[in-house]
Amino acid sequence: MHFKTGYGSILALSFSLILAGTQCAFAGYPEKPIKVYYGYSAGGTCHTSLQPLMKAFEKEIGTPVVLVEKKGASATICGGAVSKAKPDGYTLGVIKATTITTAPHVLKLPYSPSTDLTHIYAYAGPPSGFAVRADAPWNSWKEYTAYAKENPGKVAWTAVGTTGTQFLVMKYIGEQEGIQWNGVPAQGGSAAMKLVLGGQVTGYAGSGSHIPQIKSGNARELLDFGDKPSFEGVPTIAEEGYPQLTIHGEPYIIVGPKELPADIEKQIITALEKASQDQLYLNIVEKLDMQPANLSGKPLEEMLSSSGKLVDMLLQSSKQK
Amino acid sequence: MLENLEAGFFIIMQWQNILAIVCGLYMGCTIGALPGLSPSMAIALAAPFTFGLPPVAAISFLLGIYKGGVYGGSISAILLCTPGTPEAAATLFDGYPLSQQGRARHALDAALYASIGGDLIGTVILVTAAPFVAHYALKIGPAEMVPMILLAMTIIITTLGQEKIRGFIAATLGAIIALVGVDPVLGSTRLTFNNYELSDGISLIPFLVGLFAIPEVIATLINAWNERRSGKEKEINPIEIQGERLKLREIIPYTRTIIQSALVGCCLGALPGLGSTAAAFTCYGLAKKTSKHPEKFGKGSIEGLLACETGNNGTCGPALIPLLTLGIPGSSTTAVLFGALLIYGIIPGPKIFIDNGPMVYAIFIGLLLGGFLLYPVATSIIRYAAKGIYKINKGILFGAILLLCFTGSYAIHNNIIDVYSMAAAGVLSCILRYFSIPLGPTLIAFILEPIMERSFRQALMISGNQYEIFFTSPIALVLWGLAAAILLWGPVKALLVHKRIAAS
Repeated sequence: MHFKTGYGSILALSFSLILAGTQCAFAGYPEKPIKVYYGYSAGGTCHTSLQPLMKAFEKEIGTPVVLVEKKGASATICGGAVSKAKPDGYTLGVIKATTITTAPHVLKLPYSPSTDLTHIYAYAGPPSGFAVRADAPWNSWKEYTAYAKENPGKVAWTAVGTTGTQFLVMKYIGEQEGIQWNGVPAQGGSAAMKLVLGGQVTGYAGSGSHIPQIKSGNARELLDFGDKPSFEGVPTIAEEGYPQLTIHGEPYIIVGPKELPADIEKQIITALEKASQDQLYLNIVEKLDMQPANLSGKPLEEMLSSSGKLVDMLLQSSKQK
Repeated sequence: MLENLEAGFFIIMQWQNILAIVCGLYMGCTIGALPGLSPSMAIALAAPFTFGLPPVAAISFLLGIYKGGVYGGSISAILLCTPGTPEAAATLFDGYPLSQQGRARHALDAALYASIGGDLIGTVILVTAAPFVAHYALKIGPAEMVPMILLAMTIIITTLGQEKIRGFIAATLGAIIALVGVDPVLGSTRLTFNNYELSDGISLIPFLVGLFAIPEVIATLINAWNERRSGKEKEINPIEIQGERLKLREIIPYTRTIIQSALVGCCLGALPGLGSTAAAFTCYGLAKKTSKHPEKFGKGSIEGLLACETGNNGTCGPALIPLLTLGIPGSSTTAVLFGALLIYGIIPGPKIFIDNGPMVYAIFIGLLLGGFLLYPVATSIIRYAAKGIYKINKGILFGAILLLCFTGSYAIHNNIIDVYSMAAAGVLSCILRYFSIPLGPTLIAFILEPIMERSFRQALMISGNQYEIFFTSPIALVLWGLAAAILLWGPVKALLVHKRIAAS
């Protein structure tokens, strides 16, 4: 049951209510359809990967799931809607790790995405790395930085938004190495890749959109920001001497309102763990070049706190300049 | 290529696929005609339902919605003075006066012929010149985008006629409203009044709906109320009002306008990010500039209507060029298509013709077919739409439209802030109308300001604040030259005429 619009969801709700009515009533959670807000545009990576996951989740949890788009402001609008909902497990949301780590620094929010939400399950996210055009003269990250050092102010690269982790990481490396290079914020992954392919900038500190271009032979990856590289032979950022800058994935996270009862949370996590092994879902995640995270509970909080620390450090260092 | 073309022909020529295109066109036309509901939304809505279909049928269905949607916006623009899609905002300048003169069917037919014409020319360019066009589209970086937008604006200015100061005020307002949101370079928020929900800026569709539909609805409702009170309700004969059909030979004198607009539409459509609304306005301006009867524009000129409809449909085919050949979607609609293609295992990019040759050509033939099928589909819709709209009680009709404005604005992102912006735009629009400030410049400035600002600042960041970057590439120089020529042509011509008169 996957609809995008308000009309759609009303329709879906009424259908699912009829469906739910015909099924025999189970005691306890879930008794009615679950509404899931997602904070990104329909048809995008989040929505496309969420659809098969929720289809499998529907089967595991035994109740229909209604997807509702709640896009905007780095998914903080979605988080806000969930934080205001009743903590009964019938309203969930999908946001990204950066909604919790970065957004509160940039926007003045009336709620805290880290304390006013229950972080339930991180399913998968795009990998990040630095890509250049396939015919670029640099064969390694070292060659690239050496070239940038020799030509101060001449080398430009792009990344999405000036507060994106990839942008901040590149800026930080520049400051540490004493390289004067120009970071150009792009409006999205596709726009950034166009700048690289058109030769207006040298490279893209990418968060996902670079992967299909590398696979189709348009681009090459010089450095991977994650802990395991998406392509063989590409060094990770830790191997190049910056283990503290490793981006531990920026997965999409399923969240619920604060004070969600522990048994309901556990039930959802168990269902999601099973759903994330679904073959259709895994196929789509692979096609979208996402890396499965499958984190919940303590490991999830650890990942969020380490990502949060990295973002805090980067933002602080960029503010000082 | 020929083998692929043949293989593609056999893939698409199955009744299921043809049916998928026709269904898509119907759905697109209907959704496009409803204010607030856009083709990109319709595609996103329909995409999950196509997952069970074979890839070609599914993609033809989605492309059908896309094409139908771009055309459908003009139906409501002409009949109700309410553009169903942003692209159709320029259509309303001549379309609505025509329908008020009792030539609604004329205008609807003209829009249909123009749409099909523009669409076919665009598709032919997509099929024959995709790699070549893609190469040039990539060369247009931020530094070239700036003169490109200035060139478009010098052309659009002509649509203002004598209303230059009012137009300037309107455009400034539009640009200021477009500034709301996050600064593209610094990442800080501006004009959001500490409301985080405004940090993505004002959405285009609610703004458009508020700007054009709300004042029209209010005016019509007041008129209908007054008529009823004074008991002067007119009995209208629907056939009479609808007018005669437009004969194909009546548009032959405008062939040049159609071809010129289609080419401009194609050029702008192939550039990721500029979009079909800017194309429609630019074509309208250019047609007025080159027309033999510029004085008729805005008062019901078939030529102006043909120009903007050809222009906005001309962008459809070429908009797929950067998507298919480079894997770069240029608009929200093509971004949704990109997601759908990935799901079907078709990875857009330079290798697409090698890996999925027959499939790609099947899609191309499907697009051409869609262009022709638009004719029966659209005529069947407009025959009843035009009749029906005049039969329904105006109060009920416009009341329903008002309702749709609110629900449609909410349905875009399920976000109440969009409804508030729609209502605020409606109030603003009523004020602007009171001072007879034109609404077109507000919309076009709202659309172009973010692109212009981003390109300008990106170009300066790339060059390290060196202004030379705007004048280094040959493409940029040509664009500057064209803009200067258009801008200076008027004064120079006036000067020459003046001299000739003085000499004689």
